[in-house]
Amino acid sequence: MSTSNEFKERTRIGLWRRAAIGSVSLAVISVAFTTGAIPGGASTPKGGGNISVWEWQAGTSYIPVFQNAAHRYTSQFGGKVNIESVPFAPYFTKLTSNIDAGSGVPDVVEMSWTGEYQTLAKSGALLNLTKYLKTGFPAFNKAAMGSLTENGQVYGIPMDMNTLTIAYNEGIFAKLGLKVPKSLAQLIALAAPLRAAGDQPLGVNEMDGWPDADLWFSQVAYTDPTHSLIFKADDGTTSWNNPQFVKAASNVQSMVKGKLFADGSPSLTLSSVSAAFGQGQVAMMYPAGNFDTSLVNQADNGKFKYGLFPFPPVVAGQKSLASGGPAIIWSIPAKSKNPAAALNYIRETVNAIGQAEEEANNFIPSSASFAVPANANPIYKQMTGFQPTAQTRAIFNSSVNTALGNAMSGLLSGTVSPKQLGVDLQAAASK
Amino acid sequence: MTKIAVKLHSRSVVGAAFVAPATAFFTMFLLFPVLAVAALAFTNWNGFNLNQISWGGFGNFSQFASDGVFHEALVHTVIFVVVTTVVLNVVGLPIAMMINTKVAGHEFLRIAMFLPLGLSPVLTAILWQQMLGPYGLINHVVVNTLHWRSTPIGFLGDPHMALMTVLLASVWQYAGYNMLLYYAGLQSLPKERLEAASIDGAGAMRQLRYVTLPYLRPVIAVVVVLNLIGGWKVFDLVYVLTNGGPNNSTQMLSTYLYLQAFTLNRVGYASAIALTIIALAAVSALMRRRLAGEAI
Repeated sequence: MSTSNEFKERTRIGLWRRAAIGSVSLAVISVAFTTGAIPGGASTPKGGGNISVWEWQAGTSYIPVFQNAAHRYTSQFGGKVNIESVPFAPYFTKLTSNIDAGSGVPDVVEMSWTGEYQTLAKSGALLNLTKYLKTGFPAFNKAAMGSLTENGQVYGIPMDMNTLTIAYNEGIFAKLGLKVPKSLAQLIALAAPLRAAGDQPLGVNEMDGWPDADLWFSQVAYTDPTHSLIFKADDGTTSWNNPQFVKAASNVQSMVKGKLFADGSPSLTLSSVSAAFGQGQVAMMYPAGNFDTSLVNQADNGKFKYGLFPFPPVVAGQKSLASGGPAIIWSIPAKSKNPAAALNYIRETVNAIGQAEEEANNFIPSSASFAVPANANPIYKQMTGFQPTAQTRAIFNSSVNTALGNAMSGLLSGTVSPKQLGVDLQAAASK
Repeated sequence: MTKIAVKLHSRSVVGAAFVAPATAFFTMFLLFPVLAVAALAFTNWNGFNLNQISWGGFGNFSQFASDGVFHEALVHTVIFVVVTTVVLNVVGLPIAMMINTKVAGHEFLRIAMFLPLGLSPVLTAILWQQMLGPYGLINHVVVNTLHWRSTPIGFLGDPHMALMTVLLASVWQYAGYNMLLYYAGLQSLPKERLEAASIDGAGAMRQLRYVTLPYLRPVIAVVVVLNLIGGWKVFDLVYVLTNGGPNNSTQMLSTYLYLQAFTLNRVGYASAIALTIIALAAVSALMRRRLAGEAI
């Protein structure tokens, strides 16, 4: 009797256990299907679902580009894209805090092209995208990819490009009979007639800091014919104190001595130099890029005509080279809960439709095969024309990057020599 | 337990309850951050991953000795603190006395002096930038209207002038603050004392030296200490007006701290700089009692 009851009781417990295990298994399988963990099993297509995107472009023309990509993603894959504009100042603090805490980690993040990118990539906080780039992405501009390659691996996808050139006021040039310079000496020689006519030559927004370094990058494009020394110096396989880097600083110093830079450049910001250029107070401005053409147009409602040219080569007849690199860079945090969906969203920003939207907003798509439409505005055509020649303007080591800004600021004010600049960069790298 | 003991106990509980919110606020938002900064100053950390934090000992502090930009920032900050404290008081006190004597136009003067204080330092910096920039209002008048010079004056772009311009903008903004505090102090000065001094034959200067200034000594102490502390931690005005440039000629400890923490991601070193600022501000605060003539 007792054995029979025990048997019944055991059977009852066994049935309950099986039912419980079965229910749990079903629940797990359902969750796996709906989240897409089991391919083809979810009602949402693979790589879909809700994702969040962080960027720091509030108020710029980038926002509609991001939002339209989000609409296309939603209609194709299902799920919503929450685009959050985080101010730049606390951006990386907030991002890294969330990554450390493992909560609130966005799926797609805009990434800086210098120090933070390298630091986050090295610390394992970013997903290695190298293998994913082979599927569903266009071939990207080589210089852009070079800027984003860290020890042979890629952790960022360039959505569009910056190409930095000099903008010149065609009216002032025509009035004084000046021509677009073909060599560095011709560029410096523009200063005298411009000043004699009461015009300021080349306005540079030195107060922002970064253009000081860009002046140096513009010259390294010429002094390093291999276009690889900056990457090597970043990797530690060559010195920052090598002659090519010092020569680049010497070129800038010759511009200072030739009084090429507009008076007051050290206290000009991007908006003030754009305004000064737009109002004809400076005949040229540097750097001109996709980020400030709208500012220039706003300055005088586009009434005056201007053109672009890269810093000319040292010797006339050599090929002109611009400097530049990736503008918007997308990365995926390693802790993203939906990396497949994140990749799909990024694909939407760089596919043919995404590229057309970028072009419509005066941005330069980073796709190597991007063709400029015949009806594009002349400035955009010039900018994109120089884009394939763009050489890097990125130093990953943030100490060296800052030392470069400081040394160039000193060089522009006459307190640092080109030789000292090389010494300072190497010292910063050794820290 | 006696009734008195129970009453005292309940009163202390009520007292603790009243103090608790302020204590919690102080602990969370003042004490803890200061202690965290103090701890971080002895570490090497990039601010990203807590797993990568490492003990650095006094390394960050010993690095001060070889950091040329830190030296420049320290010197500029000391100059800023000394000059603004002296000028703000030299300007603020006489104007407060003028207003207190109800001279003609004293109401206008009071409002005019106080008005800049209503503007945020960022807005002040932008205004000064617009006026003193190379293509700003003043240079336009100097170069294009009066033809005094062929090139703009480098108020902000010349490394030899930029710090002076920052000092000027700061004095313009905060002179009204000192004036207001001194004016409040003068308002409470008993008229009888001045009348008695006057009857005893004391002239205006003697009244100032033997009556007014001694009476204002505690106010002066507070104002000077507030100026000193405000000077050590000046950031917004400098950051917007010159961003520490050109060529670090207006770099302050606070702007250098920002650069180290948020551009170079050197949180440990930035914390050591922050600790230096806190120490300098604390020493200034301790000076108050000595300045006020109180026993320490």
